[in-house]
Amino acid sequence: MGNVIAGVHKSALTLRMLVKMLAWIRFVQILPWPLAFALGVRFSPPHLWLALLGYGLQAGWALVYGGRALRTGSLPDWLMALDIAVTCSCLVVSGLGWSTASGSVLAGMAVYPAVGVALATGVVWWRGRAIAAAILIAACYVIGILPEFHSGAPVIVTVIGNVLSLLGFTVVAGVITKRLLGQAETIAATTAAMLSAREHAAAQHARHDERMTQYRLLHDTVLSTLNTIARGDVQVSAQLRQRCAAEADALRSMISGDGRPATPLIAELALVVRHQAALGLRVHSNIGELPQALPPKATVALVGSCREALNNVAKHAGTDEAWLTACAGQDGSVVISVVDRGLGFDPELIAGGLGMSQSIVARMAEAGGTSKVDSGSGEGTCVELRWPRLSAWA
Amino acid sequence: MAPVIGLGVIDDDQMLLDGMAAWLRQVPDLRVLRTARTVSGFLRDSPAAGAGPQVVLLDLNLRDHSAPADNVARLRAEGYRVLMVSAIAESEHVLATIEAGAAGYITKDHDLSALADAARQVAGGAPAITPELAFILSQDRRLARPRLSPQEQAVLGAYARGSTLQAAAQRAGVAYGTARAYLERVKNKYSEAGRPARTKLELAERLREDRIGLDAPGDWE
Repeated sequence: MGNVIAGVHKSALTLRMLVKMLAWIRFVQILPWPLAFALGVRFSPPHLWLALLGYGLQAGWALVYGGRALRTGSLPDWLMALDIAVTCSCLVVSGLGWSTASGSVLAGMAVYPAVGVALATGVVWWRGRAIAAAILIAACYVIGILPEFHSGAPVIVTVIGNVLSLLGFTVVAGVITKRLLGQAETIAATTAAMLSAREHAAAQHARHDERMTQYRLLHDTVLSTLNTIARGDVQVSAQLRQRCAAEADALRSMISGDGRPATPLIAELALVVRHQAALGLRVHSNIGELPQALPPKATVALVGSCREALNNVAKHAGTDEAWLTACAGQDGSVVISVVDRGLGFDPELIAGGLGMSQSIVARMAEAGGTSKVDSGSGEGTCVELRWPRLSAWA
Repeated sequence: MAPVIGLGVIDDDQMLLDGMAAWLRQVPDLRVLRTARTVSGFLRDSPAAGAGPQVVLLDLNLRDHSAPADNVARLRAEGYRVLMVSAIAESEHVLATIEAGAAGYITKDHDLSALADAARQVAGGAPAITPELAFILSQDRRLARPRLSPQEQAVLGAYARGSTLQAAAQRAGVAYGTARAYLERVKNKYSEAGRPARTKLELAERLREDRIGLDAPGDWE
C-alpha cells in the first residue's frame, strides 16, 4: 500500500515537471512575431485584423494556459480540450488572415503553438486521445492553409512536413512520458521497499530493547532482593519487608493482568511504582488493555507526569497509599490516572500548585496529550492523563 | 466488642497460609479457624458452614488446576461466603468467580486493615467491592456482560481509579448513599448474570447495542 502511494507520488512529481516545461514551451512559441518586429522586420498581411486577431487570441491564450499550468502543475482535461479548440481556431483564422501567395511561411506562425499542444496531448493523454487530438490539429492546420495550396510544391511540401511533425511530436512525447513515469514508479517502489525493510529492522530493534528493559528491570529489582535474602545473612526487618513490598508492587504492575506482554510504558510505570514503594508510598496498580505501540514521546510524557503526580501524593497528600490505573478510554485514547485518598486541596485556592501545572499539565500538553487535576479539600486528588487515540500515531 | 468472625483460608502456598493466620491474629474480631490447600481438602474438614468458618478467603488460582468459578460454586453450595484473594488480577477468572457468587475480590498487596474490612463486609452479607474489583468490572468488554446504566458506570469508573466512595460519588455527581447503592447493584447484576444461561434473544440484543455503541462501561467521562 505504502509503495503504491509513494510510486504515485513520485510519478506525479515527474508529471508536474513535464507540465511546467510544456508551459514554458508555449511562452517561447508566441515570441516569433514580437521578436521579428523588434528586429525591424515589417510585414503587412492582406487581412491585417484577421491576422492580428489570430495572433492575439493565440498569444493571450498561451499566457492564460501556460500561467495556469505553471501555477497548478497540472493540465486538467477541460483545459486541454479548450487549448485544442483555441489552437484549432487559430490555425484556421491566421491561415486565412495570411492567405497571400507568399504568406504561407508566415502563416506557419500558428503552427508553433500547435506543436506545443501536440506535445501536451502526448504527455497528458497518451495514447488514443492524444493521436486523435493530433490528427484534429493537423486537419485544422491543413484547412487553414488550404487557400495557399495553389502556389504549388513548396507550400505543399511544407504542409506535409508540418503535419508529420505534429503527429510525430505527439507520439514521441507520449512514449517518452510513459517511460519516464514508469521509471519514477519503479524507483519509488524500490525506495519504499528499502524504507519498509529499514522500519522492520527498527521494530526488531525496539522489541529487543523492550526485552532488555524488562530483563534489566527484573535483574535490578526482584532478583537482587531475592539474592540478598537467599544468601541468608539478613534479618527480616521492616526495611526488608518494605523492599519486598516494593518489588511485589513493581512486578504486579508489570504483569498487568491477563498475560499481556509489558510494553515500555508498563515497564517504565513499574519502575516508578517501585521507586515510590521503596520510599514508603504503596501504589496499587490496575493495568487494563493498552495499545502495544505508543510513540516514545508519549511514554516519556505519561511516565514523567505519573512520577510527578505520585511525588505530589507523597509530599502533600498526607497518605501512604495511592492508586495507579491505566487503560484504554472508549475513544481509543490511553487513560492513566493517579488517585489518592489523602488531604486533597481546594483548586480555587492553590490553583494546582506550581509543581502540578508545570510538571504535569505543561508536560502533557507539550507532548500532545491532555491532563486533568480534580481535587477538593478532604476528598483526595485525582490526576488524569490522556494520550489521544491510536490512529493519530500510526 | 464485635462478635468474632470465623475465617477459612484456602491457598496452595503453605507459607502464605501460615503467614496469613499469624497476620490475622492481630485483628481481634477475625479468627482463622481452618486452612487448606484445596477446596476439596477444606470441605473434607468443614463440610458445611455452621459453627465453623463463615467466610472463606479463596486464592484465585490453586495449583490443583481446579476452575476458580467451580471452587466458588462448591463453597457457595455448602453455605460459605467467599472472598477471592489473589496476587495478580486475572480479569477473566475474577469475573467468572464473581458471577459464580463470590462476594468480593481483593489483591494480596493490601495491608491488613483493608483485608479485615473486606472480610467483615462479606461476613455481614455485603459485597466487598475493592477498587481492583471495580476496575475489572469497569473493563469488562465481554459480549455477555451485564448491562450497566451510565450513572452506574460513572460511579464504578471513579471508584475503580482508587477514589473513596465519597469522592467517587462526588465525581459522578451523586449522593454517597446513591453511589453505594449503584456499586451494590452492579455487583448484583454480575451475581445474577452467573445464574441463568442467557437467552439467544438477550445476546442478540447485546450485540446490536454494542454495534451502535450505546453501551460504554469503563469510560470515565
